[in-house]
Amino acid sequence: MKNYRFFSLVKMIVLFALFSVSSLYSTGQQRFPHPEFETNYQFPEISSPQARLLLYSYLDVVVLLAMLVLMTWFVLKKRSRLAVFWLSLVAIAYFGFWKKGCVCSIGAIQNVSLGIADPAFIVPVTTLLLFLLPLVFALFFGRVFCSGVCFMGALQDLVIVKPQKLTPWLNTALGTIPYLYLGFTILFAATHTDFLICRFDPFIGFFRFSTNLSMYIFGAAILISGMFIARPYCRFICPYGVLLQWASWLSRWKIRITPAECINCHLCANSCPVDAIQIPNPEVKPEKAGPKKLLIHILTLPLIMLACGFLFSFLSKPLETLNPSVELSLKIESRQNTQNPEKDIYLDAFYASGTSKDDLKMESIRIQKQFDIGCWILGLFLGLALGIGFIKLSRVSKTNTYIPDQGKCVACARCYKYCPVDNPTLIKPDSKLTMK
Amino acid sequence: MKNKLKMIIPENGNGGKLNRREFLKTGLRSIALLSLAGVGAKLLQNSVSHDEVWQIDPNKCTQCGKCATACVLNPSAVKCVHIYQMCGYCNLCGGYFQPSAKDLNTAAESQLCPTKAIRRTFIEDPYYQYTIAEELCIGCAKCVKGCGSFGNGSLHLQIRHNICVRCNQCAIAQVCPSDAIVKVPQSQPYLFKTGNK
Repeated sequence: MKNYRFFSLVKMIVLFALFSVSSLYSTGQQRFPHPEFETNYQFPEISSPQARLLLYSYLDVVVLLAMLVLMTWFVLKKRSRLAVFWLSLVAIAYFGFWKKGCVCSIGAIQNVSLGIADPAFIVPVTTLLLFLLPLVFALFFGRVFCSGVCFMGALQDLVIVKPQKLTPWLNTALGTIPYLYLGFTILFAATHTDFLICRFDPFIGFFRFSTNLSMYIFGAAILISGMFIARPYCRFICPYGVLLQWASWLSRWKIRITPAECINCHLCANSCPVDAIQIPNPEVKPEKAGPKKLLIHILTLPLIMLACGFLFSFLSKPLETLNPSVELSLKIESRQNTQNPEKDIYLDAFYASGTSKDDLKMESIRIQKQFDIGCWILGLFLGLALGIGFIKLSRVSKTNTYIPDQGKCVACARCYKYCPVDNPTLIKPDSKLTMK
Repeated sequence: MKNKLKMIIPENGNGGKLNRREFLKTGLRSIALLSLAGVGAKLLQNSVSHDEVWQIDPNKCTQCGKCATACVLNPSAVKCVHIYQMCGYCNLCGGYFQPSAKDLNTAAESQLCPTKAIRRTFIEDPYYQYTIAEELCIGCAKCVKGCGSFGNGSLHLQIRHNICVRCNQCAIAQVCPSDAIVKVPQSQPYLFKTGNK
């Protein structure tokens, strides 16, 4: 019995020795022995410059919060365009040049969608707060974030020179792009395919002083067109703007152009660079919101949604090939059918990684299913947005005074100084306007 | 007059009472707030209070050379690091010399590095020390491949955090064939090789 124990001990020692030798050789890289220096040579230190301090990430959130509070105060209480202007300069300096842009609230949409779709993807608390804070503020005070806390909005606001009015249909048509962009962004992020907002960010290259040529051209094009069409990215591209628009429709405190009674002088509507001020139409008779009309709306809305859903479901096949896993899986399949396969670093890396083809296939099928469902949801969502847009277009509501469209207004505070009620100096003493 | 007052102060038009529209909006606002709180709570479950930064896992890296070109910065934030403790201090260094090099000297035509970012210094016979001049390194991984194929693998790529601009989605990670770009805690931002120890 004792003998047996002894043997098992020896066996274990031999096995352990074998194992450690084999592990030494399995890495296969220690081909040359460590030199035995005769001089007293010291290994140089390997430098490891540290990452940005965690403190700074929390500072970003604090600065964002402070700037939102300040901006709310400037826009709603102080009604000062100058203060808004200076704060937007601070935003460009801090979030743009100092923080180098990333992570921004717009891009955080992707982190949040991927975090919800894939629990293994970690969203740091700071990123989550960057996403939530502007939305919460919009729910209470409107789009004060867009006004100048967002460095991309601030940058575009600075270059506005001579904003032109766009016709309402053009505004509506271009205004559907952000919905599409938001939908595709969430679909692509949630399926681990790509971060579209980051890939097609037009301004980030200016803050890093480095990007590829096509993005420089895109960014420059947006800034140059932004001289005449105010804030093109905010109005016709920005996907976060869609969320802020929804929140702003529900906002508790609204931007009021005039502090007292509107005298319908039209000065503010001319001053608005983003065509957000609705021109009053007191002559229009309010339509009856009869049950018939309501019924038509309720019936047509699902129809539009289903039609869009059906249309977009055809997109899932071409879109899913953009996903890296699906692409790799398709590549392996097509390679099996060819005689002389070309060298491909992606395939080589895959074979070297030791992942089984079946695992990749399973992963690919899972993502394809996500795309099938995702494209339907995307279509339904766009149908809903379109349908609500149609309903809004078909309804003409009577307005007596100049009020900003809560969704479109980016709280730039330009209209305030054009309001003669706010600035009595604008009105000549003998003006008829005061008589009204 | 009452009508006009309602226009100006829509949230409190009916003598302090909420009208139907405002009631609806308040309800929807509460729902929106609750759903935002829901998103926050869901994500907080597996959230972290630290930040994460990008780093290259040297064991996954296949030295494809994309680090040099895909980074949003030019030159790339990826640099070669040298783990001296793993190095053999060879005279014939696979990471330093062109495979076709005739003489083992510091002549430009015998060097593998396209920017001549590796410095070779004599220590004692027959040992040479190889040092990376990071300001010249472009992260092309040519030396890493050479060292890994013929030597101890003491050279490998790392993202340098004094240069990296912490993109939300690392542009190199999107094209890396072996998914070698991973997220690591900001407090331990390097994945240095340790050899066999």
